[in-house]
Amino acid sequence: MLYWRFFLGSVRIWLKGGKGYYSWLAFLGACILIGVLGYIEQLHGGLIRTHMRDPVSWGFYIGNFTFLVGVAAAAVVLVIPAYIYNWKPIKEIAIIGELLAVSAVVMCLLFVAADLGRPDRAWHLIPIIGHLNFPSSLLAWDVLVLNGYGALNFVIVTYMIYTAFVRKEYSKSFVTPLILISIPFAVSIHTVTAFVYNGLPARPFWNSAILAPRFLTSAFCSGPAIILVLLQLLKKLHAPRDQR
Amino acid sequence: MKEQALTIPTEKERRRNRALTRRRFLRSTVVAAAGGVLASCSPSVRESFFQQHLKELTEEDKKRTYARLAEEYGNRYGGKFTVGGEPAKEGVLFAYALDLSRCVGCRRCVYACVKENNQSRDPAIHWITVLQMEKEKGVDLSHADAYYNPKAVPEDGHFYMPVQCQQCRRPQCVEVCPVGATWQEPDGIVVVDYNWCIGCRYCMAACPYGARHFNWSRPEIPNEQINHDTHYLGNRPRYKGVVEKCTFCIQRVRKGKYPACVEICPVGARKFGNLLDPESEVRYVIENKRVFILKEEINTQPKFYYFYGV
Repeated sequence: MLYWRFFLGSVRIWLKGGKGYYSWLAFLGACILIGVLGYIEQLHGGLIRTHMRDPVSWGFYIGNFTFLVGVAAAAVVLVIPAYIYNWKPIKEIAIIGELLAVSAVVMCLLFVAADLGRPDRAWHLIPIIGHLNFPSSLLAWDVLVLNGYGALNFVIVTYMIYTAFVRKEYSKSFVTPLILISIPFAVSIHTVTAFVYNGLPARPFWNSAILAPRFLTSAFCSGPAIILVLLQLLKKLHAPRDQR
Repeated sequence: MKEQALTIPTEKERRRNRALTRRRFLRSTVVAAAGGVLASCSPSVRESFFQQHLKELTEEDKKRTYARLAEEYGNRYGGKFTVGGEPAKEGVLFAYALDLSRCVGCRRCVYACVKENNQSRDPAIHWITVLQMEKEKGVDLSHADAYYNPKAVPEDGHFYMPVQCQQCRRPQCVEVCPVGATWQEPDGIVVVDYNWCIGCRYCMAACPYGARHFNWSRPEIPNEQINHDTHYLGNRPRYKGVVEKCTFCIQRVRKGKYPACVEICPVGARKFGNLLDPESEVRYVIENKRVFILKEEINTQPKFYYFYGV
C-alpha cells in the first residue's frame, strides 16, 4: 500500500504548481501532441515523410539519439563523487542527474523506435522470443546496454526518491552494487554507440578509432552542461523572492 | 471464498481482496485489449505478425507461409502468384563478371531488373545503379555520376560502371543486422527475409556499395506489370518499411536460368555462372582477363568481378 501511496503522492506533487508551471506543462503537452500526430502520419505514409532517401538513410532521428546518449552520461559524472566518495553536497544533484539519465535514455529509445520502418516487428529484437543477432551486430549490443542502463537508473532513482518519500535512510547495501554496475554501463552506452558507427568500413568518415573516446568526452561535457542550465533555472525559479 | 463470506473479514483480508480484484481487473483488461486488437485483424495479419524467423520454421510451416503470401499478393495485385522456396544446390557458388570495356550505359539492365524483381515504381527503386565515369580519371567513385541523362549513350570520353549487390563473401550487411533478417545462402547469395526485417537500415549504412534499398513508403506496382513467378527470398512483392536488394535473380538462377540483367544486356557485357565449375564463363573470365573487385581495401571479398574484355 505504501507503494501506491508513494505513486499517488508523486502524482500529487507533479500536479501541484503555479500558473507558469501549468503553462509549461501545456507547452510540453502541445509539443508531444505535435510529435504524436507527426508519428501517426509517418506510420501511415511510411518513412518517406521524413524526406530521407537511400543515400542518406539515417537522419535527424539517429542524430538526436546519439546526442541524447551523451546527455544520459550526466548521471555517471555526478554519481561517482556522490556515492563512491560519499560527498554529501553533490548527492541531491546526483538524483537530478539520474532522473535526467532515465529521461534521456527513454528519449533515445523512442527516437530509435521512431526510426524503425517496421515498429510492429520490434519484438524481433527481444532475445529468445525474437532473434537478437548478438554478439555480431553492434546494434544488438546497443539495445542491451541502453535498456540495461535505463533500467538500472530507473530502479536506483525510484528507490532513492521512495526512501526520501517515506523519510527513511536508504540502504547502502542495495544501492552501492547497482551504482557500481551502472558506471560501466554508462561508459558502454557511449562506446557502443560509437562502435555502431565506427565499425563500418563503408563509411570512411565514421570509421575512426577516435570516435568512442570522442563520444565519451563530449558526453561528459554535454550531460553536466544541461544539468548546470537546469540548476540555474531551478535556483532562479525556486529561490525565496528576496534572493532572486 | 464462500467460507470467507460467512465470517466478517478483517481489515487486512479486505485490503488483500481489494488488491486481488484490482489485479484481476487489470490483468483481464490487458488480456481483453490485446485480444481485441488481435481479434479485430484478419487471421492472415495475425499470422504474419507472429511469423517466426524463416530458419526456425519447419518445412510444413514454410509451405503454409508461402501459400498465405501467394494468396495475399493475389488479393492485392490480382492474378495467380507462386511463391517458391527453392533451396540452394550443392556445389554451386554463384558469381558475376562485368565487362567494363563493353558496357554502353543504356540502363536496360536497370529496367529489366525492376520488371523481373517487382521493384516499386513509385517511389522508384533500382537495384542496379549505373555510374558514368570519365575515361581520363579511370574508375574513380568520387567523380562518378549516377544521374547522367544525355540524348544518346555512350557519351564521348566516358565509360559506364553498373553497380549492384556485390554478393560479398564477408557481407557487412549480414554482420550488422540486429535481428538476423539477412544472411548468406549456401550458394553465396545474400538474401533478406522481408517478413523479419524491422527496417532499422543499419545494413544500408554498412553496405559500401549502396546496394541496399529501403521501401520509404508503400511500394506501388501497376497490376499489369507485376511478375507473378516469385521466390520467398527474392522478387516477391515487398512491404512498406523493409530493406531489399539484388539477389542475382534467385528465383531464376536456382532454376538454371540467367539473371534478368544478363539476358537483357545488348552488348554482352554481363557474364554469370558457377564459380566452382571450371568450365563456367566466370571462371574463364577470372583466369584469362584483367579482373578487379570494387573497394578491395574493405576486405568484403565480393563475388562480383569487373574486367576489361578488350
